[in-house]
Formats: sequence, C-alpha cells, structure tokens
Amino acid sequence: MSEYLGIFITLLTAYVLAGSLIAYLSRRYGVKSSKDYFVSSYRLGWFPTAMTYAATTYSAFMMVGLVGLTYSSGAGALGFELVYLLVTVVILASIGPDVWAMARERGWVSPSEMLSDLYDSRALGYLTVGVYLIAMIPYVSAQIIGAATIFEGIGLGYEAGVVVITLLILVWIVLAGMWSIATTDAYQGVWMLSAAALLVFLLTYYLLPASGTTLTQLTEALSVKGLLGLTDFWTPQTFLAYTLPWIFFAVTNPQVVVRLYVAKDRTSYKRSVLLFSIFGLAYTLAVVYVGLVVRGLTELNLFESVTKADLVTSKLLSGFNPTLSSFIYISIIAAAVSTANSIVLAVASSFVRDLIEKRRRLNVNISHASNSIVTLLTMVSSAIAFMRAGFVVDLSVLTSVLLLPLAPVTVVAWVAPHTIKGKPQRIAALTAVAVGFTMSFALAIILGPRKTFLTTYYGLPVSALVLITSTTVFLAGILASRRGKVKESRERVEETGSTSSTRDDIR
Amino acid sequence: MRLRSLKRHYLKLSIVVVLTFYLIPYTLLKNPLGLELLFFWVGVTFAWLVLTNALLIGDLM
Repeated sequence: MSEYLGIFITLLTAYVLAGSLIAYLSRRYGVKSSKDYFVSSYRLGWFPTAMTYAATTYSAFMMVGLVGLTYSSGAGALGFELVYLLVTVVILASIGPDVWAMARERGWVSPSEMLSDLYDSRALGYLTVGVYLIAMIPYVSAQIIGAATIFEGIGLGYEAGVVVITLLILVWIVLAGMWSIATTDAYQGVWMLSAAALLVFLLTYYLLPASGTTLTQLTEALSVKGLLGLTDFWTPQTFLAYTLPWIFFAVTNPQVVVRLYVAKDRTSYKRSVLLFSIFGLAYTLAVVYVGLVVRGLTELNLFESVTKADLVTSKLLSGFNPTLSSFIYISIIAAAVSTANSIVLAVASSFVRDLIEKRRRLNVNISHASNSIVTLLTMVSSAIAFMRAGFVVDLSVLTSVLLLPLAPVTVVAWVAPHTIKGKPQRIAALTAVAVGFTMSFALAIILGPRKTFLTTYYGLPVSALVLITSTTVFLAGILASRRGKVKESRERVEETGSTSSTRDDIR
Repeated sequence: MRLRSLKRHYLKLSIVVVLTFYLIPYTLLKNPLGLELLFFWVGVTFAWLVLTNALLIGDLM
C-alpha cells in the first residue's frame, strides 16, 4: 500500500468514526415521532441550524465543479454563485421567519405537506412528491458518483467508494433522523470550511512563492486573457440559465425548505441566517479564488493546462503533501454526504407524511416506514451511481430546473397564504406545476439534460421559459377565478337591486 | 404597520440590487482592466448581507 493511500485511509477512518460518534450521541435527543425524526420537533439550536443549511446547500459541486467552472470560464462563475447567496439570504431574512412560524403553527414536517396544507389539496402534495422523486434522486446519485470518483482516483476503487458513501448516508440518517444529520452536518461543515481555508493558505503561501510568482502577476495574466471580465462563455443567456434555477433554490429544493422549520426559536433562526451568510460568502470566495489562481498559474505556464474542468481540483491536489490533500479530498466527500443525506431525508419525509400519515394508515409503524423509505431511496440512488446510468445521472444537471415550477406556487403561498384558498387556486397550482414540470422533463428526454440546460428559445434559456410558463399558468388561473368571483358578486348585487326595485314597484 | 412598510421597501430595494448584479456587469464592467467586476460583485453582496442581517437581528423586518 502506498504512503498516500495509507494516509487517506487513516484520515477517512477518523472522519467516519468521529461523524458516527456524533450521530450516535445525537440519539439522546430522542426520536419518537415523525416530527422528531424529520424536523427534530423544531428544537435545533442556531449553530446546527446554520451549519446544516450550509452543508446541505453547498455540495461536492463547489470544490470540484465550481473550481473547474472558474478555471475554464473566469470571473463570471463568481457572479453566478454570489447571486444565489444574495437572493437566498434575502429570502431567509424576509419570508423565512413567517415560514418558520407557520411551520410550527400548522405542524409541517415535509415540504410537500406544506404545499398541500396551504392549498388544501392532497393532489398537490402527491404531485410534489412525484416531482421530488424524479428531480432529486439523480442529484443524490451525482453526489455519490462525485465522492466515489475520489476513491477511484486515489486507487481504492469506484465500487468501494459507492459502498462506503452509501453506508455513510444511510447510517447517519437512520441513527437519529434530522438530529444525526444536523449534528454531522455541523461537523462536516467545519471540515469543509477548514479545508477551503487550508487550500487558500497553501496556494497563497506555498504554491505561489514556490512557483516564483505573485498575486499581482497572476492578476495581470488573467486580465490579459479577459478572465477577470465576462468571457465568451458567459453570454447573458448562459448567465441567466445558470443563475435562475439557483435564485429559487431556497424556495424549490425540499432539503433546504425543510430547514426553515427546524430552529428552536426566533432568535436561533435569525442567528442561523447570520452564520449561514458568513459561511456562504467565505466558502464561495475561497472556491473561486482557487479556480482563478490555478488558471493564472496555467496562463503563466507554471501549471499544466487542464482541458476537463472537473479535473482541476484533483490535478492541483496531486502536487500537495498527502496529508493535506487527503484532508481536502475528505472535505469533498463530506460535502457530498451532507447534501445527499439531507435530500434523502427530505424526500422520505414527503413520502411518509403525504402518502402514509396524512392518509391515516394507522396500522403502519411510522418509525419502520420512515427507515424503510430512507433505505429504499438511498439504495435506488446508489444503484444508479453504481451503474453510472447515463440519462439519470445527467438529469442531475437539470434538478433545479425540474423543480422551478414549484417556485411561483410556493412564493405566493408563503407571501399571501390567505389568497390561495379555494378550488380555482388549487387547480391553478396543480396545473402550473404539472405543465412546467412536463415541459422541462419532455425537453430533457428530447434534447438530453445537458443540452436542455443551455438551449435557448427566443433568446431565453429553458429555465426562464419554464418559470414564465408555470407563473403565467398559475397567475392566469388565479386571476380568472377572481374575475369569476367579482362577476358573481356583481350579478348578486344586481339581482338584489332588481328584486328590491320590483318590490318597490309593487308597493 | 411601520415594520411592514420597511420590509416592503427592503424587498423592492433587494430586487433592484439583484438586477444590478445582472445589468452592471453586462453594461459597464464587461471588459474590466483589473479586479473591478470581482470587487463589484463581492462588494454588493457583502453590503447587502450586512444590511439584511442587521435588519433581521435588530427585529426591523
């Protein structure tokens, strides 16, 4: 066994043991009901609330995909990632406290249950569960693939990676549901941020001086190539295609929606938004810095040119001390696991609440059902990752686009819940989600998921068209029902008026 | 009532801030000589995060 492999296995074992101990200890908070299991009965403190939000949101994409995207496309990648953070914090600060309060008033446990309750429509809940299933499973598989690829690159084998990651996802959920996830997310979040900081430190104080260059020279090299501005890659359409699904991420993705419920009190909720803001900004800046520095080194012929963007991080780490690079590799695994288990738990909560508990299937043991569904979802995602099933894995690129039709329906329900009670509103919501989802899924089948993501029609990317279509369908339905109501009440007034005037005539 | 009004103004301003995130880079900062675009995005985000959290923690929203 090589020295590198030995160090990686030692650090991995330490990461797994410490995480498992944390998850096991979290059992003392007690899991007796689905509310305990899926949302910790709204008892999380500010630190785990913030860290589980951050670790769930920021996946393996950051250290692999975003570093590569910055390397290949320049500064535009920073705008793409920061606009997500900006809008998410605005949503968390403005609408989030109301959602937090509504969740405990109405006893929400799953995100689909929230929609079915607000619209008083079981059908909308079922439809949302279906959308989650098709959109989120590929995303979980992509996380497993990302982490397993690290195992493969280090020489431990892809299959072994899939098995280890699957077991980690499963065990850290089953031990105590949201409790074990939130506490291990806090631990993994600290690991992720420390690794990013370490990488920035290594680049600035080790690699740059060792390469005989300075940040000023790098900046000049990047500027000459136009990489500090908007390169040809970042056309307005591409920027919109990338940013639009992410702007609505906090509203549409079940794993983050459910995290709006969990803080134990209003103060904890507010503090968690503050900590998430700091985490998000620091992590984003670190990751983009890495991508730009490596590209600058390439421009100065001090680092090899990497044609496949996703390989930039691994090429960079291959030149580092084995302990340090293993520490950073494990932070990528942590990012993948923390995102994947949160998604599995959120999707499972929708199954359990909407399809079992709300239908009053009382003969079913909820605890067993929850664990069985978690196991089933994890196994399906793992099997897809194992086979590297092309279309399904590619579908993960479109996850946020497939979820976009939920955005108008959710935003209106959060901002003006009193306006959506009624059959026409229910029908409008159902139609908007069904039409938007069918449109994006059909395009994914016809064009392929990757092509769909960047295809434009009439100068607009598919994500914008999906959002416009579902918003138009939804608002048209609501306006039509309002007009109907106004017309009805006018007719009633006229009728009453004519009846009274007839009475007057008779008199 | 006053708080609601403040929240409404905050949301309107947030939409303007997000729009500048798109418009300024594609109009004024498309081909910067140095780090202007990066500083613009980081500066706007940092300022808005500070303001947002100050309003939130200070119970003004």
